[in-house]
Amino acid sequence: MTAILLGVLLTLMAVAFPIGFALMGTAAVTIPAAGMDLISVPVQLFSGTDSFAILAVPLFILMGELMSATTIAHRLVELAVSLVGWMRGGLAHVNVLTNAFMAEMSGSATADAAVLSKIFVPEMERAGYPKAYAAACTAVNATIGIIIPPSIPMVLYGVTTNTSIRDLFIAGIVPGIILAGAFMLTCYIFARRYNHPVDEHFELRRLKASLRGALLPMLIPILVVGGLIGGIFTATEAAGVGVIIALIGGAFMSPDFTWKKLYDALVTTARQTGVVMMLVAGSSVLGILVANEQIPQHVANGLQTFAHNPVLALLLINIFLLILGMFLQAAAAIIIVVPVLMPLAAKIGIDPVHFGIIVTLNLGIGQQTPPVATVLLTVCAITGLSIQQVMRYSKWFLITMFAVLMLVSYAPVTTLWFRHFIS
Amino acid sequence: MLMRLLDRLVALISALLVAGTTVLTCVSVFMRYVVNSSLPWAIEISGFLLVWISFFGAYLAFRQRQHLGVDILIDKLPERLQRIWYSVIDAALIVLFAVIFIHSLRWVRVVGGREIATAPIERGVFIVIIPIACVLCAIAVIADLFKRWKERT
Repeated sequence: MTAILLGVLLTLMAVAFPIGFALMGTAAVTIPAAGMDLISVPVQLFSGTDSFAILAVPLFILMGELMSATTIAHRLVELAVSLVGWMRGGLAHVNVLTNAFMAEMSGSATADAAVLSKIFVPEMERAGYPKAYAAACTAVNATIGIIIPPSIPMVLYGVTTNTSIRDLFIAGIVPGIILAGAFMLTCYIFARRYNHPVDEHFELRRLKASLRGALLPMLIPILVVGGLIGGIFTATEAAGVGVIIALIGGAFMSPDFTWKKLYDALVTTARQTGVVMMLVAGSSVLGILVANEQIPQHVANGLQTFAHNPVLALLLINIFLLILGMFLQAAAAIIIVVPVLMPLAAKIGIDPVHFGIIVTLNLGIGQQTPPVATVLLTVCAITGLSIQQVMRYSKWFLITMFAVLMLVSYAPVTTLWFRHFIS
Repeated sequence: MLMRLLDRLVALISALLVAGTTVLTCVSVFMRYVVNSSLPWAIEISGFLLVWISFFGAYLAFRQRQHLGVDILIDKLPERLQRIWYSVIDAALIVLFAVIFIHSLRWVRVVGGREIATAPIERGVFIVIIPIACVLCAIAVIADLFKRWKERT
């Protein structure tokens, strides 16, 4: 049965069948073969998507949409300019910092890249940076968005593995800061090597003004992430409250914000939710078969030999996830593969929260590596550059990301310390 | 023309559902902390509404060809073969939706009359989205199929 299931699934996926529906199709073929009733298909489609926890996903998507429809992003850029604009290669550092600020409101790297590449690429090109370097910076820095909470991949991971979303969010904070620091270091090396300009001078007055301007946008992460960590909200409630603040604040601060923009943001949110949720729905249908056949346990037992060597096992898991990330979108990879990997990770003694951050980082890199590279392709589409042009620069940042991944993988303290610290 | 009307209708309903769940989530937080009396049905209903958003969203995504697959192999084929191949996939999708439609109707008939856990509403009101979604998605795929062959001429 397992052979039929995997055979049908891999065939459907190889021939470009839309992934969510490939999962449903595989189940529809295999369920009768397993002697079960096809009525479980609609039952699972409904119960798999009926989840208050996953409701955080559309709400975080909506928050991202509102940020691009209002001037929230511009205010964060201004704050970042006044903070680090005076450094050599200033705008590259501003790019990192803006992404780190955005990360506290947005849970999607693709959304951040879409908003910020429209702002940064023209701006950096005007200031004398190579356009492809600007695009590469914006693309890779967007990864910070899914590491620093909130994070849509982490919500999906939490739901599929029954791990606390709050714990995952808390665990992402330190690795996110490390990642931002590593990106700034990389930008600094670039700036030295290619003699990038110093764009601005430091002015205290400007910093004060920009802080005032960014007060409301910064209120969102304080309330959302703070409320979540403090246990006042669940992730979904935090997202809902964040959306309302972003909407009210954004509407007040942006004179060109219209009802039409709000309506479009709502429709886009529903559409993108539809894409993600068909993966969730499909995996929920296939899930009853996967559980029936005990596939994850078989995988873990099959790889038993590696369990004696956790260092090697973790390296192999990482390599596997990196390759997977090249061919699958992050949401699909989490929903399909993580349940299968979990027993193995448990066997070699990896904390499920720590593993969640490892998975998210891996898939963050996967969003930058072709052929399936959602973030890279978004930036290419907006800037009109080719993948090769951007990759010339972004490959160096990928090395940085890999280094951070290794650090986080082998030093669980990076993800787990902060939780101990606050509790 | 009819398709555009359907697109508009689904988009409008989806937008209202997204707005509705957002407001509902905030209201239930407000009730819990400020008014000090929670809405017991808020969580269950929000979950159901997410199902509705998901499946209406799935229709909208079909209309914009946003349900992606792994297309690196198919991309290598000549354009004519690609078109034939994607038509085969469309046909398979329509069969899939038909199968789910038939079984979902059975399901709705069996459990649709029961009440949900937290409010005096019949389950059928919510779970009927699955057969509706099957019809909508099948329509979207058929429209796509026609368009693919009309574009050629």
